[in-house]
Amino acid sequence: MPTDAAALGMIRAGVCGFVLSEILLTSFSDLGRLPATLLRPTGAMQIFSWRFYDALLTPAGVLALKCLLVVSLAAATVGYMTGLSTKSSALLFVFYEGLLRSFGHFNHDEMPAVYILFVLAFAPCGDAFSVDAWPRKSSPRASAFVYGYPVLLMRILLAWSYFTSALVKLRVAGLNYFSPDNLPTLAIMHSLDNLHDTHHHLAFLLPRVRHVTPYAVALVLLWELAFPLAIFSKRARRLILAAGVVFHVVTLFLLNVFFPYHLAMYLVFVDWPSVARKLERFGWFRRAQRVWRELRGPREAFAGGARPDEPSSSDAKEN
Amino acid sequence: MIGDFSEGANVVRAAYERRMLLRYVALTVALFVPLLAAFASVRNLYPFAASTMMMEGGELQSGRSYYVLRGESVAGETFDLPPVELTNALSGRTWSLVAAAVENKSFTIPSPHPANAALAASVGGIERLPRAARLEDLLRDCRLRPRDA
Repeated sequence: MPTDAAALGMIRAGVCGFVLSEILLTSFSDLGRLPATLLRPTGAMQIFSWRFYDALLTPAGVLALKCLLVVSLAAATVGYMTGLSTKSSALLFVFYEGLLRSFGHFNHDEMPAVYILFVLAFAPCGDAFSVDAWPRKSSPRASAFVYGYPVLLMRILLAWSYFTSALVKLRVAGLNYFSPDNLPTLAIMHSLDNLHDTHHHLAFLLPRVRHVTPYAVALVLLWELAFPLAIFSKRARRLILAAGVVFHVVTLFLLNVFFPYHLAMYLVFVDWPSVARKLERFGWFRRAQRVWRELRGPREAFAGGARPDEPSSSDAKEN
Repeated sequence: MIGDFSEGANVVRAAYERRMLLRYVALTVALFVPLLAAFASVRNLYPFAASTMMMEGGELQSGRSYYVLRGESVAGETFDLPPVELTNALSGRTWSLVAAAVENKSFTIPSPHPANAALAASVGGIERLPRAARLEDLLRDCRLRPRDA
């Protein structure tokens, strides 16, 4: 488990960067043209009035929401005013996702990303790998707990999504979930219309192999139940995350259901500083590092590092 | 002097870490208590999800409705018009929006939009509403446009 400020900073950049790219690629103007009369505010979204939704669901209203999201997420990605930008990103994103769910169904793909943004909002994720850390030219110094616990929490939240999904299936459907008709019916149900984002028809081949599908369903259920092992075991993590990639790609082609946010959030399981160390083998990476160091300036010789709320090392010398 | 500062810095650091510990406890409780409640009740209450994905299916005898969006050319030719080719605004939720619009679900929430409440009152109650009372609004508002934002 990485426990340094750089690992947390890199996760912040990855998570916020992914959400930012998704927001940039989504047409908000069309969202603003949807009639408010089709809205069914879900959960916490019921605290807003209809007058507010009428004003928001206009091309200008949702464009303003998109601009706020883009500015906030861009600042959080590069780590500029990190304390503020991560909090505003989390709040704006939870609102935006709530708005989408108030039109359609409560889908689960983005939910771990929502929770992870909230963890980042309350963690010191701008202490390294951020614009905020530039002027200090010193490494942050705090215990492993301060930087390690948020990483652990983010991993638990993603594992929670898979693990409880398996338990809920068993609790609600019981052994019927392993019925040979279950997967083919589910897959075909999602392949009949043209309203899904993809229109693959592999589901119609499933009835031919229906006798095999209970084993496939059981395997997926076991994988979901085993997901928490990825939090601590490096070996299990490799296997479980690889299986996750395969699972989500297969559901795309079989069920026309894809979970890109879940896949992207696998990045909380990667030890990014360790990846960076491995990349040092490559000349292009070393050159990029050199450019970065020159840009950032030399590190002060005595930089054990200090938090912004601590007196700086130069103050200590003066004392 | 440097020794004094080092001691002072340690005190500041210890205080900072105590603050962070309290913050993390609060964050963990704020996230996991509602998540546990959602899981225990198998109920999604936004923003807390009960991981109820992919539970349905299996029942071959129960009927299913599905919807296909089609358009008509000037020449009168009918063609399929997948919404994702028009817009990605709802990313993966269009199918459930259409199903909800057909079933007038936006009329049956505890506090419906004033325009929906007025429409329901004008026909003598929700049960007298025609099926898909607001689908025309959806089709009118989502006609083909270039993506511009």
